[in-house]
Amino acid sequence: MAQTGSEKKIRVILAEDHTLVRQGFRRILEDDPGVTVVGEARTGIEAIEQCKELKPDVVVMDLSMPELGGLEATGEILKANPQIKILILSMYSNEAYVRKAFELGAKGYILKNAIEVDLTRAVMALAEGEAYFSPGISQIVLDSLKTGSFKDNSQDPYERLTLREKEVLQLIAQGKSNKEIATLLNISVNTVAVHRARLMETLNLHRTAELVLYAVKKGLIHPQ
Amino acid sequence: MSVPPSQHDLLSEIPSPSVRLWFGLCVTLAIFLVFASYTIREIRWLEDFQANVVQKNRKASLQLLRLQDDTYRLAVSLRDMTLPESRYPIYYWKGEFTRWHQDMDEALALEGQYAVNTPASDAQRRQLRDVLDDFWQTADEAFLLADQGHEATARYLIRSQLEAKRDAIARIVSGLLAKNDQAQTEAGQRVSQVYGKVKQDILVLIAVLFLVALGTGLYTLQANRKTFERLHHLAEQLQAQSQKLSKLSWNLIEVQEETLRRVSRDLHDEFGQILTALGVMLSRAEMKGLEKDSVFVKEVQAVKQIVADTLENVRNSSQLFRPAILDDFGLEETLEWFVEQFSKQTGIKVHFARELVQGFFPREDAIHIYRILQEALNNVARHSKAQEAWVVLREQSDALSLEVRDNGKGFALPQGGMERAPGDGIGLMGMRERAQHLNGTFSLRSAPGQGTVLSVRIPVDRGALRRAEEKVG
Repeated sequence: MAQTGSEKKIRVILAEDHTLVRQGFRRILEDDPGVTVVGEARTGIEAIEQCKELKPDVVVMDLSMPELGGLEATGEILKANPQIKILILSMYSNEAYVRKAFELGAKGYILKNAIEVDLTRAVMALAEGEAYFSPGISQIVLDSLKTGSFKDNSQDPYERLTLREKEVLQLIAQGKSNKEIATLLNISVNTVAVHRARLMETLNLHRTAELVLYAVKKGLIHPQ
Repeated sequence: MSVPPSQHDLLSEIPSPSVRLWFGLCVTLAIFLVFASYTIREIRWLEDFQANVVQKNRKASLQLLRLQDDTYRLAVSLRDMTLPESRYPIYYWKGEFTRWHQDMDEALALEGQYAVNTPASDAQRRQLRDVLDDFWQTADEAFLLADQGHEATARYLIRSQLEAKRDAIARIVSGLLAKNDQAQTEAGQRVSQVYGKVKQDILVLIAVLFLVALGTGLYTLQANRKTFERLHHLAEQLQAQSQKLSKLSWNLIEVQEETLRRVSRDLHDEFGQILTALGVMLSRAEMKGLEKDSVFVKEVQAVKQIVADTLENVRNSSQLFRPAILDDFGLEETLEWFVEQFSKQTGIKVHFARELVQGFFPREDAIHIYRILQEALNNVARHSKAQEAWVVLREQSDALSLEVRDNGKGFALPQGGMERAPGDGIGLMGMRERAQHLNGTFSLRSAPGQGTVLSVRIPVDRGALRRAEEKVG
């Protein structure tokens, strides 16, 4: 509430597939004069597109969205615009989600638990360059830092892939086209293209033949 | 869909060869008995025949030979008696003649006793007696004449009559001997005939028995063949039915998974989001509240708490039905998460160990491995009274294995398999069904006081890898 002046407003994109929730968040955020919601996205793909176009300060990113999920979108957005701060919204406090989100470069993680939601504060913290976690999440982050599980997993680029990306890699290795993969996974061709680009980037491989060979070496190919 | 025949119907389709085989055995035994009694009768008759006819005939022949012998001696004596230069008077032979008379009478009597009478031999025997009587009468006359001193007359009588009569006796005895000999030959022929017949009968019996045995054997073979064909058919039917059942139960599992997935998604996407939205709205209302301690704000906070609790419940249910983490992070993370949740809820300390190479499995396979672990740990909590359990997920070169071990009370596995454990039939069946569907194996080891070890092994086809490798070059 302290910040005023339109040029200082924090520009936010809300990526959340559920309209009611999105509207609720929008209202909460816009209650604060220092925050403006410049865009809304219902899928990861839309979030990526809007980020390219609008260059927001903060993206409030729901983890589970149709098409491209929040984790993959986070990776893709940060690849293009590393300065964007991403705040993950999740139903789950599992370590796996938290760990993956931070590996991908998210700066905040809050639970969509009605009691704990303090969205405006989180967005402001991120805009200030700080990290923000829900109370239940902080402990997980601390534990993970202590056991070093963040570091270990990031050494193998394969481990930095999301499950969806691993799945797309497997299907590519089986000789499936983007269109076939899109049909199999019930997502759009564009989404498949994003996954493909991201996993190639992560694995530092640039041709399909190299991907296939990599999948074989990794033992990913499994009979249907 | 056709209704499968009941077990009773299936079994009644197998014809039983027993009745016919019993009948065949009875016929065989009857034939054997008839032939055997007939043959015994023949042999008995033969024994009688040999004892009565052949032996008697032989004895009669001996007596006839005795008579013939006597007749030859008579001839010698008669010749000596009639020699003109004989130094002995005729009465000198009288004693001899008396002995021969007795001897021949005795022989004749015995011969008559033994002889097997025929009309012809009877006539000859009567003739012999007459001739012998005549001979002895004439001999007596000759000895009387000699006693009275008419030595020459006596000699003449001997020469003219006695010698002729002795010749007649010799002839008749020879005739009788010849007849006896012939009878003996005929008897021998009859005996060999009877033997031949008996031999033939036995051969026929053997042939008949062989044929009956052959028939019975062929019938048994045929009946067996039919029975085995029917059994084979039945086994196929049973197999088909059990495959149908297995398919059905797999379909049930699939439908259940699909339903759970949908319910889980609906809970999460619809109710979860609505509750989240409600919470968000309430937070906003709370912030708009006038004073922090106002009744309004407190009411809003109370409602928010209810919404939060409900959201927590919805999320837990959704996770239980199908954990989102399985779709987002795969099997390993899911099992780790579940084991942790389970430990918290039940107080059973569960150690989770993993030896993974890649840790990536198709989610359609992973859900079944997760369900198996879920069921296994639920069983540990429900029945084992264990304080600790160990879960090992291991990826080997060609298979993924999951082992769940506890230090609980264990139980006695039923003999001959692990189809059922106490109160747990359906759960075990489901686990087994899932493992089998993934071409894997499922096993359970336990004993009272020894805890329980459940292990599942799912093969990973590395052949597909090699093929892909060749393709890439």
